[in-house]
Amino acid sequence: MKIFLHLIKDGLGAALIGGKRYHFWMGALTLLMLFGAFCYSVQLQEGLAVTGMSDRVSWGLYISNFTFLVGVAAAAVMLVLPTYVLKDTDFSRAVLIGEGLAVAALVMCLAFVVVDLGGPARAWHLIPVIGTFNWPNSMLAWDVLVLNGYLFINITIPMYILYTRYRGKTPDKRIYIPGVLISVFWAVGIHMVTAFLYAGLPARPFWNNALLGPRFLASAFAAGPALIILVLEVIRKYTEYSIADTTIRKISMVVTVAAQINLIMLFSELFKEFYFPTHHSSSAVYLYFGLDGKNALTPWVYTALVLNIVGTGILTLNSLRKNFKWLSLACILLFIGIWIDKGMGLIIPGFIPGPWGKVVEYAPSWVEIGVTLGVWAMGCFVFTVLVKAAIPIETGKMRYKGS
Amino acid sequence: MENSKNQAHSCGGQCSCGSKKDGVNQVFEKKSDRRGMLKQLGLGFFTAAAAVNSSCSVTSGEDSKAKADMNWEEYFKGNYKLMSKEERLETIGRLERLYEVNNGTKINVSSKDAHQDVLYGYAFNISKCQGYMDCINACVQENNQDRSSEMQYIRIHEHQNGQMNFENADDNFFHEVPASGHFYMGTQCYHCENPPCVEVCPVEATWKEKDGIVVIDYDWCIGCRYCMAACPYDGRRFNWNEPQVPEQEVNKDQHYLGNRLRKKGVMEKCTFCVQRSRSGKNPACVEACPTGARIFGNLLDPESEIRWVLENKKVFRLKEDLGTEPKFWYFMD
Amino acid sequence: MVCLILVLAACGHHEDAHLSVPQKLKKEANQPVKYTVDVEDQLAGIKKVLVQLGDSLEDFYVPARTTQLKSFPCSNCHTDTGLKPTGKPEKAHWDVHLEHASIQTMECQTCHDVSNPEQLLSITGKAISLDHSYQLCGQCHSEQIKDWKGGAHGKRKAGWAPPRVVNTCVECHNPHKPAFEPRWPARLNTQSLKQDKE
Repeated sequence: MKIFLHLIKDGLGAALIGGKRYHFWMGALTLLMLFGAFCYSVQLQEGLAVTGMSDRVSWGLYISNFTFLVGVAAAAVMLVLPTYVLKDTDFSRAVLIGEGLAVAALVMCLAFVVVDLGGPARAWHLIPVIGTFNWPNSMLAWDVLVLNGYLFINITIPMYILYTRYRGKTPDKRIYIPGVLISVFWAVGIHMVTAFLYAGLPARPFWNNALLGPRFLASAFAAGPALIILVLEVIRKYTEYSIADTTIRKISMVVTVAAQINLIMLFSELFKEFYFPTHHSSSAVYLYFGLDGKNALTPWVYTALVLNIVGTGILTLNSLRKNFKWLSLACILLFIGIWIDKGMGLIIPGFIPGPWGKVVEYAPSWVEIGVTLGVWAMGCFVFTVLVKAAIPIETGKMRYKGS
Repeated sequence: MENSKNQAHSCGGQCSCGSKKDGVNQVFEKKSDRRGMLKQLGLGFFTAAAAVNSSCSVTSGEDSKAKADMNWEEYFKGNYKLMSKEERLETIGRLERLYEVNNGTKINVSSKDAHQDVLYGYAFNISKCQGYMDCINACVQENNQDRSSEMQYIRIHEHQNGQMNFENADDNFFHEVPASGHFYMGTQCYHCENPPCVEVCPVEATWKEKDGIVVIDYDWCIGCRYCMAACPYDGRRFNWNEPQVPEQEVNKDQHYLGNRLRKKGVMEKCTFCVQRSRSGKNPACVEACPTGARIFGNLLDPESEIRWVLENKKVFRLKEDLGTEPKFWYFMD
Repeated sequence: MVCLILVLAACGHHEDAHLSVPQKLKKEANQPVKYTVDVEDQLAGIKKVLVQLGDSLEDFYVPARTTQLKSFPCSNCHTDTGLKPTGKPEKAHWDVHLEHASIQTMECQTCHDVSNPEQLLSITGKAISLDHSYQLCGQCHSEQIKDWKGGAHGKRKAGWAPPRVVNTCVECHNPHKPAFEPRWPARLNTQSLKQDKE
């Protein structure tokens, strides 16, 4: 226990040390978090009326980001699986980063759910045993379970590994491998459950399709590792933590395959919606062409489409993928493309047109954008602190010195 | 924790609020239930707040403390569906007292249960409806809906003859009605036998009562709006802001699951006017309709009017393909 | 064993689950209901008379008409026999203009008994009490009277619970001008209007 406290102290100490750039980064994040907190206080005071949401479009930017980030969190498994199970050492240096990313993404997910609640003070009703938990009926109850479970797993495994390393020992495989195996299935689980949250609603034909779950996985396994590649590039540029080229190459293969599958599924969806458009295609029509002269999402979705196609194209070409500049560009394109596609491009058109055909558009308010930025800043902050603390332990610079 | 306990007791003595209504002591004397832990956890904050409160305003000390106690108890109460009869009466007593303390007038909140052998059903005659919208006004007044956002459970859609496509209908018309070449159709919560909204609620804050009415415990709802996304009929409404009803317009005859005042951040919807229907009355919309287009009654009674309509008229329901089994039928003369 | 129970439970569940509400009602709800609720207190002060239509499935009531009419009995004015009133005859019934079917079909005497204004007359000249005016309307409006009897036309008094007291035709329709007047809707939702325009 004492050693653990020391680990926390040393870790936080490590997070406080850094260059000018680092302090500027953390300072900016703190400012954004404060701004987000202010916006949230406005929302708490006035109610969700200060957001752009309405009875017509009752989920907006918050739930869009939540959906996207569940995917990012799930993607950590792409690194975990080969490292621990297939004993592919190439990934081992990236895996802690991936898990840190998962933790940060999950923290953001939970934060986005909380800020979306009308009565956050009553959120304790969601706690099993103390509240009433509508399990197994409600997919949201499932989501609460799997997200928190995944967060727990992704905190304990790296914590155990770091803790043993900190003490100068080697982590015992018999202890962490079962946990890793669980987390592999769990990662797929969190994303499928989140997809089912939407796919299970016959009221919203745009979501109510069997492809939603698989597409969630494909897009997650493109966007998540794409982000990891970008993060690894930053880390190896600015810290002494070395990451081999082959690691990034391998991850880029994961991104490539996932992005290709994602595109195939997207075209399959588009075919179904537009070959013979029915009443159930109205949302897709709104998204891609606009309805009743309202087309706020159209430019977004075409941007996403172009970004996805170009990004996947770059990755598919061997010569470009092997060039780190092109690779980074492709990763940025894909990340943004999927963020639009899976967030705004999925959640909002699900509500348009409404059950009785009403087309009311949605645009986030400044309060909503502020809170969203704040939550993202919090995620980045958490991730930076985790990575800052983990790197010296991994590199062996930080060890328990005894009392 | 120990500290705050002492504080609570000493405060109770000093301010002479240690009378029979002392909520803090009630909390301690009450047999610890499953929420007991949480209650105690928050008690530190509460006693501190109470102490500050009573020291600041000497005159209203006792009142505000009693109020704070009640608010406190209200915050930690359970799900209405799972409450015992006593617990239900307790919370209703608190709600009535709180309203009196806050507004100086009395409300009457009922907890009347479903009657035996009653399953409510509703039929809407699309030949009769003329689009007057008297039903909406009656509903808003009866159910204490937010006036500031002009919330309305009912919508009347104006369809052009020759089609029944809601996308081409207008639900906010304002011209002389009935407009020639048009017909009118009201929508509201259909109280489905197989309600998707109930299925998805993560905290069981909404459920189907024995008499088929789908209700919401406004104090248990966390405001995630999943039910809203799940409802194929646009039957649910959310309080995006603090609902406002002028005091003199508040309908004081209330039901816990019906028209009692809501707060911001919770769902609400049509309850077939549970406060009325369980005393044998018709919902406000049925009573207000000047054309007799709305029919309400007991589906389990083979001699009821609603059963006669189902068996003798050509009826239909909306989006029957979803399998939600609405207990709301449309028919024509 | 457990599996078997589960399978059985699942099957049992399914058998009922595929039935729609109307199917279930037809199958299960055929017995008259013993009510634990009524609207007698709501009906206090309303004099009700039993509907006489001969072929009614069950007893139901209409509110008495004669107790509601301001100038009833007619002998208040018509003190002499016949239609000749005392006082100022030109002021009486001045507001009645018949707008009910064409003049070929309907005139005052189609329904009113010239010799006894306190009662109505059927097509064949049989007396009908003002309390049972629905019998008169039902002569032509046979579809409506059928729906009214069953409950698809008209309005219940007080509520859905027993006893069943139903408005008579003339409580909603002016017999001299039975059509509903066009008018403007009772409300306009300005918030919704704003939302649509955005």
